[in-house]
Amino acid sequence: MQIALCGSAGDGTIAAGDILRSAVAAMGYRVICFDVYPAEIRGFGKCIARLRITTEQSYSLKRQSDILVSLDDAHAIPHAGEVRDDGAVIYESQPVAACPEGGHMSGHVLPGQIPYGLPIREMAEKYTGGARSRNLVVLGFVAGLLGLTPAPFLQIIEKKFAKQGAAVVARNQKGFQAGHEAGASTFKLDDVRVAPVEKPEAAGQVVMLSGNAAVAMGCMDAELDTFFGYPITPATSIMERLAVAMPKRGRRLLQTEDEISAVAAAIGAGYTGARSATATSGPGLALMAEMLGLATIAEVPCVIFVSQRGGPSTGMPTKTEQSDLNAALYGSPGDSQRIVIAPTNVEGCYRCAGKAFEMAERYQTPVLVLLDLYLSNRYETVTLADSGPPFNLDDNKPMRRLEAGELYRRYALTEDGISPRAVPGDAGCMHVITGLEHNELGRPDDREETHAAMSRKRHDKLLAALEHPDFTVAKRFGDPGRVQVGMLAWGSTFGECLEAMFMAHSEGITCAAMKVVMLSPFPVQAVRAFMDSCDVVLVPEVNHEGQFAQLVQGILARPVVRLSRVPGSPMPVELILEEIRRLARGIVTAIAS
Amino acid sequence: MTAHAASSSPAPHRYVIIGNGVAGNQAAETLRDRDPEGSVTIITNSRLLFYNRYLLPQLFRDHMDWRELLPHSAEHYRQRRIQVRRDSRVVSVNAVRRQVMLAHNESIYYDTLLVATGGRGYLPEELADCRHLLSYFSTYEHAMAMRKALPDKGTVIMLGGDMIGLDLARVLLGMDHRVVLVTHETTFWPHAVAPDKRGEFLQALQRMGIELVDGEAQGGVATIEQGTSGLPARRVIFHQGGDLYGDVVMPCYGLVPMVEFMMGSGTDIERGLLVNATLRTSDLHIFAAGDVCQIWSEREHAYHFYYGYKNVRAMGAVAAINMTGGNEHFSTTQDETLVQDSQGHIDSPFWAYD
Amino acid sequence: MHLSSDPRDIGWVRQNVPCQHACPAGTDVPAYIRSIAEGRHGEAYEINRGANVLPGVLGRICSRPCESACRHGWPGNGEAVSICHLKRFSADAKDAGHRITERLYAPTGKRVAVVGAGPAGVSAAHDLSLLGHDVVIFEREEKPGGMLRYGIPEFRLPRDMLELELHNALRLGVQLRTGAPVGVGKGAIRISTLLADFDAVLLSTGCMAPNRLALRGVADDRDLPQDVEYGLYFLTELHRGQNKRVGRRVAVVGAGFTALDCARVARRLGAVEVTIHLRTSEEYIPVNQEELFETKREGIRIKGLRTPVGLQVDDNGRLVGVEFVQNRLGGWRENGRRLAVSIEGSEFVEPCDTLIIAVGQQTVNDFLDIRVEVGRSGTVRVAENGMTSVSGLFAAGDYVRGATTAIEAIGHGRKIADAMDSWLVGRRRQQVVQMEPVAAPLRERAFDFITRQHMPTTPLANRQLNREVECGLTQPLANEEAKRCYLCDLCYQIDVDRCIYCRACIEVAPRNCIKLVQNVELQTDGSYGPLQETREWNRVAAIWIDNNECIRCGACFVVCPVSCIFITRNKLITVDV
Repeated sequence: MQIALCGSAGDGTIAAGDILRSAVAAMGYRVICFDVYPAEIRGFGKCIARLRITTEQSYSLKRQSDILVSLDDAHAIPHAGEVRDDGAVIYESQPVAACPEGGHMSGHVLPGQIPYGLPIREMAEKYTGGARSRNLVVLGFVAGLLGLTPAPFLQIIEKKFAKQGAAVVARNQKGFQAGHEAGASTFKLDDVRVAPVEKPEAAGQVVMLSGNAAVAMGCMDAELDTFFGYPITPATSIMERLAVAMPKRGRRLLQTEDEISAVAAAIGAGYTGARSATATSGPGLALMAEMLGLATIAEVPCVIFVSQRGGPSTGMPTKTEQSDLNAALYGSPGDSQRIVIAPTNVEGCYRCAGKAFEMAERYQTPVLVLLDLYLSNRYETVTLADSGPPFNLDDNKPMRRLEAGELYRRYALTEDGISPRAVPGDAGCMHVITGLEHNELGRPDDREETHAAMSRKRHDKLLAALEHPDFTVAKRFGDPGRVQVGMLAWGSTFGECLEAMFMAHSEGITCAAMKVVMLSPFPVQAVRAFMDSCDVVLVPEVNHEGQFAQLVQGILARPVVRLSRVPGSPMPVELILEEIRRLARGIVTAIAS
Repeated sequence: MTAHAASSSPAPHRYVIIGNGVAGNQAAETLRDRDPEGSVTIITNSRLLFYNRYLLPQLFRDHMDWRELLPHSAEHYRQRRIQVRRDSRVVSVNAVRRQVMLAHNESIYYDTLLVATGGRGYLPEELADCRHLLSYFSTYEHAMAMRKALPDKGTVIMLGGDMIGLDLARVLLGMDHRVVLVTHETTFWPHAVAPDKRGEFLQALQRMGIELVDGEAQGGVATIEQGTSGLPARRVIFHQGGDLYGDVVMPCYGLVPMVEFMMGSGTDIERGLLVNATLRTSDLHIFAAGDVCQIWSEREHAYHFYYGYKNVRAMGAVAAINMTGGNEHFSTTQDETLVQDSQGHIDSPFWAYD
Repeated sequence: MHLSSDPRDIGWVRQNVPCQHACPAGTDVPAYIRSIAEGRHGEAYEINRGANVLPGVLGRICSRPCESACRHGWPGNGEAVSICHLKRFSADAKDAGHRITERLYAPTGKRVAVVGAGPAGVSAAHDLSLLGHDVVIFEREEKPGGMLRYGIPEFRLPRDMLELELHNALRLGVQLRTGAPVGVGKGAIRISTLLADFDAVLLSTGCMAPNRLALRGVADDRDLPQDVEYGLYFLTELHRGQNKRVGRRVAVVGAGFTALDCARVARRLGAVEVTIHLRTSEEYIPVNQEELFETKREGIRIKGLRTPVGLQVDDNGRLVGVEFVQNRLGGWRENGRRLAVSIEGSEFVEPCDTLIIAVGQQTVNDFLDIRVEVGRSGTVRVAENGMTSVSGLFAAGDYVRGATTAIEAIGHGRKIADAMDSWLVGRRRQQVVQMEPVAAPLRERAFDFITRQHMPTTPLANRQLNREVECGLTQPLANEEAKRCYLCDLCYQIDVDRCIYCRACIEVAPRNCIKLVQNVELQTDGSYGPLQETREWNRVAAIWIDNNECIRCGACFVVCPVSCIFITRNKLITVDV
């Protein structure tokens, strides 16, 4: 079941979504959700919280919601069509001001949908003494309509408002209760149901996390020492969370004056042996490009989380897009290949965050973790293993001592290209560090053979990352063996691909999907093998240029079908499915002829 | 004719229909046929698309989903471009500005308006205080609530006993429920049964299995109480002191037109909206059809209500024809008399629908 | 606190306190309801009494123009406050030892005669005596009260309450002479005599003749069969103590309170089938919904669109039916009611054995022994101050204005008493607005959701002729009802100089009551014109509380972070000039 809550900034739309997802997660449901909110901090902008609640794990939001709740008709009316037939549309039945013809939701409910007008504001004022709790009244109504018990909601409300005092908690709970009673006593005409959950045996702790929260958690579990950042949507909440969490464990976080300083400081910290990171979005990444080159040539570990948004330039700060792939892969001058990984779901965010530090330290190079707004902000239920964080960080510590008289070669040309790393203060490990091309000792050296050897070393050492322990660089899902349609996808769009794949299966189309988590270095063999087994390969991604498709084609020189869209929102599952159908039909026809 | 002239102009003519019953929907279909360009909007308080209320008794026999009651799918409305504004209550009509005011503070403009709100079950004012203890039967929700309240082989007390209630009674008896009818002057409504024939028809009811209580002899119903524990849920007390227990008490006193929202519009109202034979009200742009309108009969020199599915449907069609420039007169072909069938059970043209 | 005679402030009260403006006596409704809400019932009673000397009476039988105007009853705001029931409650719930306060003027030595002890006469006599004049009332009936006593059945107005309040009204030295007809007949006192004996004479004799019906074959009342009665006489005779009888089936013709009262009396006298026949329809009759509902509840039917045109009489001269003609609704009358047009050839008969005619009343002037100018409608012509063409002869109430309501008569009586005082001794009084700051909203938003409290009534089985139907609001009911009043006399304003334009007030506004305004027009008379609203921030000149939309919930006041919203209570008071 999927619910969309839509309102104006200040209506508490996102907060209601937050309570709902926490409550249903506590009940044992799997949840995936994504909020859309305006660039403006305050004012008239549109906020939508969409939540998909399932008993089994789901991989993306659906295009059609089962319930739409409008807290602001002007914003919600354009979304009326996203509710399926026999789904419910819930709206304010007593608006404050006279609305012009066509300004009320009831005029836009489609014939197949079920309208539920509710005096939301009046109820809020009546039971809570103010209009602010409208979101909780309507949330209660939804819960009542669905027959969900109020207890978990009341607990979450208590937790959420505890800081503001018992009176606020009581008031909000009262609003919720009033809505719940109204919902439970309303004659239900829609057919939206949530199946009861049978609590699965806990294979771990189930938590509700957003992508950014998962990143922050991964950082903390990977024992991040320092973080330097400059705020930018949609990456800011990584820093916000770390700013709360790090000082509690004696770690340091610094907000710098800009992104250049942030990455410079992160590289500097990495140089000193501290585990460090920064987080930014496309425009910030552009500013960091120069400094990243330094980290590459100086072989300093450093992790950069990049949450993409609509670009170029300031672009669409609050809209999702996957258009920074090229910038991440190629965005520094010189031959500056680095490791780029892109998780495909919230759990992946957690894993990638921790693994990024392993990689950065083992391969002594910057690691970019590519997220996007959709992934950063969407919430999912994540199961955390009871065995603790799955990160192995001790193996890659810098060496501490050197035998007396031994010459320390910071950039020694080794078989795997990885040189012994030392940090300032390590006994006997004095060396030169510079942005100039250098020899094994680190001294500036621009001779042809040195540059060739060092360039090779800096690239070859990364290939080991494809075999990085306990890390999935690419993985195939769906039908085994030969398939009609294969999908190659990366980042947040993979969830949509999976949903589309399952739907295609139910239509009898053989279909498989491969997620590519490591984008640089590229897992050529795995992808080639996958492509070999597909009659046709579809590459859905949320950018205009087809950056990933280009990458695949460039490396493998094979044809792919591109599905590149920039709607500012996640790729619609139906669109992918439509494309799968079209391709499958084409193949059938081709065989028949 | 204004309606016709306007429909050929570039802006589509705006037909607004208040009421989502047989008359309103028949009118919408006819309007769409006759004016393919016009905009047709039905406004209704209900959350449901049009369903045939005459079929509601069947809900007791078959465990039907409401969707099975719908004669038209949602797709039908999309294709026919008939907008149905559900869950919208009309509070008033401004005939001067030609606006329908909705309870949620939105006003809807119309070029031509059809009022087809039908009637609601009449409850004698003296029973007003007992309203919450009564079960109604005019909507799907009512019917479902009543079905829920009625235990197996339960007793239904019908006060009055209009033809709507008697139709339900036939189904209830078939389901092994007990039906007790408290007679009243509205028994057999809307049929006016001659005093000398009444006894005969009451006997027919008894033959059908309905138990009769002579309401008039009891001085009429005084009040209704919640039954005490261990007894059925409702107790009906008569002025003469007698009482009666049942699980459900239904007022079946006939219908009164739902016209409150038209008060103040300047349109002539007595009990219903007063219309001439073309179903036009005293306002040039407002028509009325169905149980809500009182039609002037030239022949009888009096205003008349015409009830029953066929009449109501015909009114919807006639109104729509006249709203689009026609000049059709409504005349009933329905025989108004109550009859007995070969088994000696009562039957009525009021129950005839296809 | 300060007083203002600025037309904008006076206009504000007029526009913003609709109940007070609608009340013909100008009762300060929000003030007394607030007193009830705060448990000071005696004070509430006194506030009422300041405008209307018979609160306990009017609290039962008033036609309630205030409730039709009440802001709570405006579209979208729910139902009007039960102003009338609360008035009654203030009278019923005041302390047994309640102390009446009256502000007395020094004696003037002037003598005034009042003819007729109905509501207009009593109200005028009371005010004149406060103003220091010596007043004598001449009343032809045995007891004072006029139509209140003789026209209204006891089940609507118990006589003990009427007695008590009349007594209170007149006890400040008003001399009441009952059984003292004024007129030209034998034993009657002549107007000319009164004019000679008194400094001024006030005629408040009301409308004491019933309107006739045009019935076929009935030239005058002598042609009417004995089963046909006029409602006015039916009720007055009943209340003089005569034994009235009605048949089994009673038809009442008429649409006002008198018609309803006659029907309800007939039902109590044993009529089984009582029907009220209207010329137009229920939508257009001048009675309130509660009264109409109680009437129907007593089993009385109402049938519309018919005019009686003839009577059907059997061989013994007994009435057996009334012949009606079917009407359609015709054009509009000035008072918003409708004309009825008969449809030719649509006659029909309704069988009945008693017919009561209650189609209105008119004044009679045959008691005057001097020449007084009479207008076209048959009522005397009066100047602005109520004086007739004869110097010193004034007229008030229904006698001047035709059959109206008790509250109009009381209001008019007061107004004319004031004018007479000016004429007698040259004093002038003026209305000003008293503005008093209020520290808090006095209300909660939650109060707005309380629904109108229903008046408990006597069970149908116990409704006898002298048993009051309405039992009065109980203390808890009255408390709840009193909370409902918006207190429209509170004026909410934003101090533009202190406002920081945070819009917090707009977010909590329950209505479209706080507006972004780019300009407010000042009208030529100094009052505020329409607000020019804007949606563009850079045009906003002020955030403005639209008092017309404001329901005085106080939400904005509470939420304002800089306390720039202030409240005053604006109250109309009369001061000596």
